[in-house]
Order: sequence, then structure tokens, then C-alpha cells
Amino acid sequence: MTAATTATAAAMRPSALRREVPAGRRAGWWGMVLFLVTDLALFAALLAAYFYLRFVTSEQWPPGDISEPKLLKAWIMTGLLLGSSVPLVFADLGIKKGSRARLLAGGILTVLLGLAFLYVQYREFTEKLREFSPSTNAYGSAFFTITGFHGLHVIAGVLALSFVLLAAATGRITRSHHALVRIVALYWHTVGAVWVVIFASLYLAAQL
Amino acid sequence: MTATAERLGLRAAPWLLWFGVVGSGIAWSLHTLVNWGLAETVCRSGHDAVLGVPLRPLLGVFVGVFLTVSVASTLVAWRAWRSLDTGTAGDGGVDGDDLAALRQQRAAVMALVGFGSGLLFSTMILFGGIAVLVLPACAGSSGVVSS
Repeated sequence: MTAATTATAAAMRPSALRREVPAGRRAGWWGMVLFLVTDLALFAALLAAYFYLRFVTSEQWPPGDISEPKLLKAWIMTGLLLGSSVPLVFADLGIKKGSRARLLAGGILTVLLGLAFLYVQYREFTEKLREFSPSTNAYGSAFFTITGFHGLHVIAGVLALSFVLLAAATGRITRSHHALVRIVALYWHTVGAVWVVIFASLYLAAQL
Repeated sequence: MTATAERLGLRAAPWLLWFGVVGSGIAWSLHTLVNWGLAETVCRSGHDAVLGVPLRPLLGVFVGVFLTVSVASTLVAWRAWRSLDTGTAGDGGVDGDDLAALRQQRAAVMALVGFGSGLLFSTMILFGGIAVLVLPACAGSSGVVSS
């Protein structure tokens, strides 16, 4: 019997196949994974629509009199959102070790960085709206829809994190009951990762 | 050697199950993205070749690659389902163990869903491939529009 046959036979054994991977996750965590999969599909559809518009537009991109997106604010937003994941990891690891202080400190810092992101996005929108609006052309519609939809996700994340902080402050999140932190953190990290793709697509790729 | 291969197989088993469940769906998604994106971009630029390679055979190769992955995923799902559906106590079966029985049923349902969706996705990739062989590569390219 060859090594490959042995490995295949072992892999197809019911006792091996029924092992849970990743193991020990709660139903809420799996629920969040499923939600994020559908959410990512929606972002993928929006970005596909954006690139389709770009490819079928004969003139320069962005079209009309719209200038190329400036990168400074977008870089700051990227730094804020990616940076906000670090204290959240710190908070998550902290409560696993039973440190509520670490959870609160990390959570508060994450919320503050999320709010800072939203403020810079508000300034970005104010500036853009002087130049074009969602009804100016297809580019305007796509830009505001994608970034606005992502902004709504950040708002939802800030609200969810605030709820976690409230629960932690009132002692409802402990070392043995901290699944909520991990679930909200999964959402937050995904929202950060999606922003990187949006930044690359709408800001960096528009310079090409 | 045999012990190492067996250990490797045991470790790979749950990931193989995941490959059987989502592999064909991912293959179809990538097939749609790559083939559509490539055809649209190349045709839009007024060419019918990429770096000197004609577009049609290139799309055909991509169809072949993604179809192979999708069919492999479907076969893995089918084998896993057959194994889980007929598992007995002798091969690590479920007799007398409620939790193990529940886990085996869960894995069997996952494998069955993977098998069913694998058939569907493989068919979709296959028909996409037939379209590539039958129709000119740039026939479906949409017209240029201005803003």
C-alpha cells in the first residue's frame, strides 16, 4: 500500500472526518461567520460593479471633471482602522486571561479609533460633495455607495463595541464568558480588511 | 512511513471535508471572476491576445483548471459522504456514543451539501467552458459607454 493510499484511507475514516475544525466555536461565532460571508459577497458585488463601470467607460477615470481621489485622508483612515484592530486583539487576549482592565482599555481605544475614522470619513465626504454627488454620474454613485456602506459597518461596529464595553463594565463579561468579545472582534477585523480592499480599489487603483 | 502517512491523513481529514463543501463554490467564483475579468479587459482594449497568447485557448485553460478543482472537490465530498453515511463502530463509528453520532451526522450533512453544490457548480463551469469553445472570445463584450 503506497503512502498516498494510506493517507487517503486514513483521511476518509468517519472518526477523522467528523472532527470539528475549527473546534470549540460557539453557535454565535458561526452565525457571525455566515453573516460576514454574505456581507463580503455584497461588497464583492459592489466592487465588481465599480470595476465594470470603469472598464466600460471610454473616457478617463474618474469621468467628467472629477479629479483623481486624494490619498492623504484615505491613508489616515486606513491607518486608523487597521491600527484599531491592535488594541482589540490586546483586549481579547486580556479578557481570556481574566483582565477586565485590559478589555476596557483596549475596547475604549478601539472605539476612539473607530470614531476618528468616521470623523475623517465625514470630512472626506464633505470635501467630495463640493466636487460631485451620488447623482453626478455612475462614478459618484459607486463611490458614495461603497464607502458609505462601509461607513455604516464601522458605525455598527462602534455600537457593538460600546455594548461590549457596557457589558464588561457591569461585570457581565468575564474570563469564562467572553465569547461576545471574540464575535464582535471578528466583525471588526473583517470590516478593517474590507476597507483595505476598498482603499486599494477606489483610491490607489484610480491613480493607475 | 506508513505511520506518518496515516497521521497526515488523519490531520488532513477535516480540511478535506471543508474542501469538499466549499471547494467547488470557490472554483466557480474564481472562474467567473478571472474569465469574465480577463475577457472584458482584453476585448475592451481592442485585442484578442494576452502577451501574445490568444485569448480563447487561455480562457479554455482557465476553464480546465477551475473545472478540475471543482470536480475534485465534488469527488471528495462524495467519498466523504459515502464514508460518513455508512460508518460503523469498527472504523471509528458511532455506536453507543451520542455526541460522536451527532458529529458524524453533522459531517455527513456537510458532505452531502458539498456533493450537491459541487455537481451544480461543476455543471456551471462546464457550460461556461462550452461557451468559450463555441463562441468567439469577444462576442459577449459589452459596448463602450461614456459617463
